[in-house]
Amino acid sequence: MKGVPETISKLDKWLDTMWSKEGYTGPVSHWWESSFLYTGVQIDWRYEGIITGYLDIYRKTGEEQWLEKAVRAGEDVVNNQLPTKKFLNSSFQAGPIEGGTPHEAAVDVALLELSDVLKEENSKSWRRYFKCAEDNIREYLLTKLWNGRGFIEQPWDATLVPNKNATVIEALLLYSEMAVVDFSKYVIPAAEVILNSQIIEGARTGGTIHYGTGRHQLAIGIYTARCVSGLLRLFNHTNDEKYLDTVKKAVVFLSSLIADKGTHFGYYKDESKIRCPTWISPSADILRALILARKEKIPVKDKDIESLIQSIAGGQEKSGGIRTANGFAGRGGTGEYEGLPEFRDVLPVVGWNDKVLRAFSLLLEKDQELPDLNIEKTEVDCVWKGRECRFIEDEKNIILQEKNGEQLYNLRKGQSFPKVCRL
Amino acid sequence: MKKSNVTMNELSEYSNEYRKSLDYICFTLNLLKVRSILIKEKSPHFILGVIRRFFHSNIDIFVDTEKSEEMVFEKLGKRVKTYNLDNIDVVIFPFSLEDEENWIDKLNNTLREVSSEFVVVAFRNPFSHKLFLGRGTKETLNPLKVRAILKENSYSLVEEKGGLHLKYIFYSLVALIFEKVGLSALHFRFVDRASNSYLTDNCFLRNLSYIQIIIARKGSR
Repeated sequence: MKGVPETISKLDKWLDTMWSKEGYTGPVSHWWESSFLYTGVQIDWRYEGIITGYLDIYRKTGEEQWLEKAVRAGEDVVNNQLPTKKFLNSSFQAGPIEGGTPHEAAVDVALLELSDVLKEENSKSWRRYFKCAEDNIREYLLTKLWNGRGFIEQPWDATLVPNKNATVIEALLLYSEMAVVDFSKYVIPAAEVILNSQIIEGARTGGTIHYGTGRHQLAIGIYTARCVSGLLRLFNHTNDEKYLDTVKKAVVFLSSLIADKGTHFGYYKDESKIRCPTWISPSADILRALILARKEKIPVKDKDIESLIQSIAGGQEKSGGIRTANGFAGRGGTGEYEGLPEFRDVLPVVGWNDKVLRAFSLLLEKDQELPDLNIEKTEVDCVWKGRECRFIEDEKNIILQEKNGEQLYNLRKGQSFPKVCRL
Repeated sequence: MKKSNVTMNELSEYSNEYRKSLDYICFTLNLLKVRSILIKEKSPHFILGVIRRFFHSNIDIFVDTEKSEEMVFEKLGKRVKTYNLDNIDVVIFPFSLEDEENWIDKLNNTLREVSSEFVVVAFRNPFSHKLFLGRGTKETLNPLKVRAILKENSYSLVEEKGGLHLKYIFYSLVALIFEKVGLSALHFRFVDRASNSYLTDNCFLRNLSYIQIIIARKGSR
């Protein structure tokens, strides 16, 4: 696919700039909130895309270096597993605290995929990553989050969020295949959480309601996409057509969110579309869902896939990182955002760029060679709280400064805190 | 000294008050290049919050009791040390003075005993919007008194921040109203404005803020 190998090559180099010897670091911008003050290691869903993406590149190219990168990331996870079997600082935008959902399940998916590949390669090290995931699944997911009907948001919050159940389903299916155990008693009810949350009429048909949004009942694209991948894995496990039927409707919903440059965030309960922000790098989860659905012969428009590839690749800066979004300055708005992008838009985030690595790696062909491209310094005009600023990123720093040169943010990559944060 | 007649609810680890305060405190301590921290706190989750943020740093972290030391190892697998008086760069009170009946004595005694280069005091301010809600009005733990004690102990202010201030409350209330009347788009616009203005160093807003973070250094500026 045109542009895909080039994007991966630069993205890989950018990811290396965000890695410290303890793990992947960096600030987070997200719909719910952003984390700019703590920028250290977080073992959250970023490892899902990084590990499975590198594994897929390894499968396609056969080059050992990609497996080594997946193993390096696997080591980050194992070394940051806590005595409680949860993962250090796994809560992404909520900052440094363990027990993040669906983050810990997503990390388990990555570890099990890694373990599976290593087992195929007859490497004894597969047990190390398998054990790490097994401990998390048994001592956290099943012990603390299972309530008899599904997997809850947190031990103190009984909300059943569909996409989070989907990610747990993926982890449990992978684990049950490798451990040869039957987890139907967890997986089937968790899938019911997803099926029961799907909207069946109106403009939002096919979307899943994010019950964590309370009375707003938002239907959000990237979360519906994550339900798709969970249900497809379950369909392959059970051959139950009802999961495929749900996915078919979800694909139509996802298609309705595809914009000129990315994907609209989702829909409000009144069916108005949330256009601010329009996701760029997070759209990769929607791209992946469409690719996986097409593999199951579900009708997916070629132009949707091509449009997403172009939008995501087009969001890649010379630094190799891919922008998060457009329109954060008008967060929640239903009209198209006009004007300069905001800091949260242009900021590349490891926990979104990993999704690009994972989706784009699916598009590589067997024995495809990846070009060795260099990354360069990026400078982009943007705004912060209405003030015109300049975003600057190179291999070592992320800087936001005002027109007069005064810095609002200055992070040396790999550090746990920025040097300047006046946001 | 007046005794507190108000028992403060412990802050949740997921609350803005907890997360944003600890983020800011640890960010500032990192800028000040401290090498050792004494956490004066009984509550496990404040101790854990600081340690999570400095998990991979070389900073020596000290806690008050062996029980806390064991708790940290059990939860995070990290060895911290029980309080000793040598080489403490900063002593921090993350919301730990609030329920102390003799908080002034505790602060005074610790500062005299430890004599650290820096001190950080975070607490909930009774002279904030909560005053109008009838909560905390008898509290003596307020920014003016804390500043005075620090000065008596030869500490000068380095940084002061207020969180959950009037502007933030205004945006949050407007967001709440829009939520109640079903205007989700406007609700999220104002939630965004609130979250982007959580901490302030504006003097007027800061003194009336619910969350107070005061960072001071030994000696005059």
